[in-house]
Amino acid sequence: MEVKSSGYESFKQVYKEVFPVIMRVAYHVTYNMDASEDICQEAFIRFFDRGLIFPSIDEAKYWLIRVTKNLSINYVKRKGREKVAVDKIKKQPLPAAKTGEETVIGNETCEMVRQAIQLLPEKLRAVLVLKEYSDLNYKEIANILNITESNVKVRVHRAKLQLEKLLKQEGVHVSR
Amino acid sequence: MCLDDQVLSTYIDGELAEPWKTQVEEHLLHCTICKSRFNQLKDLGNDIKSARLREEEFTVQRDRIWQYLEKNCVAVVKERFIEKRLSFKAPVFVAAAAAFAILFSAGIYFAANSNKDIIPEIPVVSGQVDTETSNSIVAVRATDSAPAAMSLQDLTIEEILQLLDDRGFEVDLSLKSVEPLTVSLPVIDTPIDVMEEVVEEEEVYYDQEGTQLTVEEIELSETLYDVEGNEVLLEIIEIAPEEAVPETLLEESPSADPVSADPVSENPPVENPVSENPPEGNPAAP
Repeated sequence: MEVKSSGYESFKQVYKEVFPVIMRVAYHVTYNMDASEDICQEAFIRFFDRGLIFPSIDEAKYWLIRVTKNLSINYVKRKGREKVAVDKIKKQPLPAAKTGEETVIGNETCEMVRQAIQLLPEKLRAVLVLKEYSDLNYKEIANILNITESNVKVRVHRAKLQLEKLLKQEGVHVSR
Repeated sequence: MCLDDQVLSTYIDGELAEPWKTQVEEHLLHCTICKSRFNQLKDLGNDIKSARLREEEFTVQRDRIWQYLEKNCVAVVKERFIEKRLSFKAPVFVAAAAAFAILFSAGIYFAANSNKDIIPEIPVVSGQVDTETSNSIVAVRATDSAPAAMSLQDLTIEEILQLLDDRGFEVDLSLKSVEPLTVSLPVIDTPIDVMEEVVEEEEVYYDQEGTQLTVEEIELSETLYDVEGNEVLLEIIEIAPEEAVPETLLEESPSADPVSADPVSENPPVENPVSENPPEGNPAAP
């Protein structure tokens, strides 16, 4: 089914189906709810304004995920630069700030995992987020990130290993 | 030979193809070390998945963004659609608007005079209005059933307006446009008389040698010459106060008017109102 990004009906359908995915992508890359909201809104505005025609809703989804991922990574980079600048001024590391929604969750493991993912390098983080939170397979991730499938496979695994290491340090892992 | 992490990870992700998938499954059945590692990775995977942002965590954002998009994107598209439907080429629209205005005025007229004698000047107005860009036919039908048909081209707008004016209607025709129209409007260009701009010729004066003088030089020089070398005497006119004007005009002849006497003239102002021999070239002479 052809999807017109500027058509009311198809836009509505895409929003309904794809919003949860791109919201998760934005959130798990930025871990900031306000930023994620802005990014998702921006992604959909771009999607609408471009007036693109996709052969299927999946293709529209890949486009949106790609845009969202890039916007989110840009946000993180910008935030990182700002943080470095602020830290230089304060000459002391900032404590890991807990945002409202994180405290609401109340699940310690969940919170630890989210914090650990923030420590992953950008390349690994993007792949892991797409794999674990976007319900995409290696092929789809390769398509979105424009890398090979085997590269996706390796990055996912490396991300998991790093995460495992980080969680062990935190004493979170082996919750059973 | 035991399985490495990469293979296990791929297997857990459900991305391991056959025949390796079956081989891994068989291996895990009897290798406790690999099974243990497999369980660790599986737990890790579950931990990661447990951190997934849940649907209920972003329902507010989802609804808020949709509201924004519906208001700012979808609404704009609907607007654009209407604009497209209503946009015509300007000359066509202007012609149609003019025809409508005329018909409307005529309609009011006929409606107002329905019980009186109907003057069948323009019972039905149908005409072809040629515009620069298209040949659009503007056909307008009056509600009266008068048989005569008259083309718009038979009457100028002035005639129509005059007719309505004669009948006591005050007709105000105005063309409104969002942007100033740059196209010429063939419908109304003929009846409008354009006032000719009166360009005053600047007077040019020369000195005795025939050199053209500037404005400053003209003011300073006593004697001026025209292009042919003839002496020109400038008349300096002072406007008298309002009360004084009728008096000077009535009581004194123009030649005796001291204010109009030429200051550059060698002759003194003539005081005698009856000047028998006014000096030649004296501008005070009538």
